[in-house]
Amino acid sequence: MDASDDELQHRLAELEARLAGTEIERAHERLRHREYALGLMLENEALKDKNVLLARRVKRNKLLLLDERRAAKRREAGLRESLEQVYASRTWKIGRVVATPLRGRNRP
Amino acid sequence: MSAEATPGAPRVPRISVLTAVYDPPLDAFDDTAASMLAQGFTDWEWLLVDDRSPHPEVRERLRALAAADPRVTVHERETNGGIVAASNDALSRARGEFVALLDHDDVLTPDALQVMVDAIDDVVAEVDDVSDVKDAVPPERAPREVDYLYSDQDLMRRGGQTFDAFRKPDWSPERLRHHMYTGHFSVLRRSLVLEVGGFRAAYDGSQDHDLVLRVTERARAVVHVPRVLYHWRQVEGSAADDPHAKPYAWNAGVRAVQDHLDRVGIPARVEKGERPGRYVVHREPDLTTPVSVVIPTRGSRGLIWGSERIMVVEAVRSVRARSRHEQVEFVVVYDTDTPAAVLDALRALADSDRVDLTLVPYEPPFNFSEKCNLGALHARHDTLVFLNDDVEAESEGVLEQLIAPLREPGVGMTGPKLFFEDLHIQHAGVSYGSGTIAHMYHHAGPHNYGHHGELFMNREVTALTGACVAVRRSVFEEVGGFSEAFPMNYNDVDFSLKVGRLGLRRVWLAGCTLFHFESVTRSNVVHDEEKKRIVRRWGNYLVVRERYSSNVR
Repeated sequence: MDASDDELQHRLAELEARLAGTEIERAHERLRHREYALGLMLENEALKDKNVLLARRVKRNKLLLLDERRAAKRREAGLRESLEQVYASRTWKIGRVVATPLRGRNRP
Repeated sequence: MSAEATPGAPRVPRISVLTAVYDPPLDAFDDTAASMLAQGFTDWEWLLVDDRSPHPEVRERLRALAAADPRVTVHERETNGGIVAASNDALSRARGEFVALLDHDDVLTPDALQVMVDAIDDVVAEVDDVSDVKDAVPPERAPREVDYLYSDQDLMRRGGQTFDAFRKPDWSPERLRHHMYTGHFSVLRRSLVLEVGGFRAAYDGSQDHDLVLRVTERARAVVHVPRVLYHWRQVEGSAADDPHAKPYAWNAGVRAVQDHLDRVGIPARVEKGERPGRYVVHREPDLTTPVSVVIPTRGSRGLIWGSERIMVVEAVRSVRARSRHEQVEFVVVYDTDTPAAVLDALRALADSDRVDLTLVPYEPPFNFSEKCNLGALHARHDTLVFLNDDVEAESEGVLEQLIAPLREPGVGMTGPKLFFEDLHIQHAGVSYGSGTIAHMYHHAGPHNYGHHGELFMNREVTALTGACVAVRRSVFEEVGGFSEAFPMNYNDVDFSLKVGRLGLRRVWLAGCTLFHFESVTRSNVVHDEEKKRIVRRWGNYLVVRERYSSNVR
């Protein structure tokens, strides 16, 4: 092998190394682009999530309110039921009129 | 979604509660019965099977219960058959869409069944209600029909005081292989329980562990209800009172886990763990998959245990020395101002110990993520291990242990237990809660057992430290590698969350140990911008999309 062959071999090795380097640079760019796009998507999703969380809180609060109203109704119904039981078991005398007070609008 | 009723057919309850009864202390059983009858949710049936209790009072109690409430059914066995036979008797009589397992001395909270039913219905309904998320969630991550539910628990003394609440993690299949952490009171879809063949006699004592392993292998969704819904009663002779009370159950548990691993195709051996009811899974080391170990460095020296060392050289040497793996490549990404003596030492190590070494120069300014990414791009193999230069392998077979779980579909990343120089915990998983990031058990003592033993068992975690992490190249590329927007901190948390977003598990390995001489090589400063960026990216992701509970994991 003469000197010019050595030089050619050396240049070939150099070119191969540069090519490999370029390939890695390209792969690095591809990886960065992928990550960048993913990052944007994640930030977008995070904004949506904020709204979702807010919507859930509103929904939960509504349900709580509903629960409270239902509980209040139940309490009221329970009270009415016990009153009805009391009414049903008694006959009240109001003045000279003897009547059961459930007659009228409260009568089921 | 309750089962639809056919006209004329007997009404099908939503939940069938199954209880095998064998000679419980009567006062304890009375509490169990009272807690069952006090349930706010009413669409249940309770199937009690008396397994020939020697005390006639037990049968009297059961008969009185059945007479008092039409939803209670009692079956009296002619012979004592053990808990498996009794439980199967109850199961064969169940009609509900779901079955709930209740021990004869456990006490339910009054809302236990209601909360479980709400969780079953909620898992689909909640996301359905919010179209914004429905559009954004990829189909494979969409909520599915729930097949198995479990809750938190605590213990109850004879006097009724409760203590030792067990705040359980969300679904953690790796942990279930080490500990029957889901507990007694579970709710399972009845059709699936029947499909897997119910309880099995060969696992008497750990029959529930065996059943849950088989059910969850096929379950479409598993839900953790992060509330204490039952109290495990401490009665004499029970495992709650004395963990050593049932050695046969521990043996059966070993067999149940071993069978499960065989079924799902994980080459591993199961042994008893540190304490009763705990198991250790020794996966067959992966010695054949070629590995590239990427180490970013700037060639720092440090004083460790009184001796000065070149950190990166000792990292490579110790990992090589404690690995039987044949095809390991080390890719060291060094800053261009790294002292020549460090590179010479590395080359000398490569020559003398036949280390397959690739040196990759890196131009500062420092960006940890970029250095890792460059290293991965220069690496030849498809399994990558990222390693800080300030580590030293402690346990044998570090690499083989780290990469072995990656063979399992569904596992995206693995990471080891890391110790500080003084054997205190440096890394046992990283938690992320809507912007709060914390190393779990940071600086805990070397003998700290962790909450219900979690420092001594493999388990799923939210994030793993980048100081030592293994990942497949395909996963690494899918998530775009480490984000270079995080040059110093949180790149590992971000990476872990990205892997989790693919539906892949991040598994922390308790038996795989290294030292991490953190901050010997660089200052540990957290930049505000990185903090803001991680919240901007991940905000409430885990709570909204992954339905994480408030329990840390």
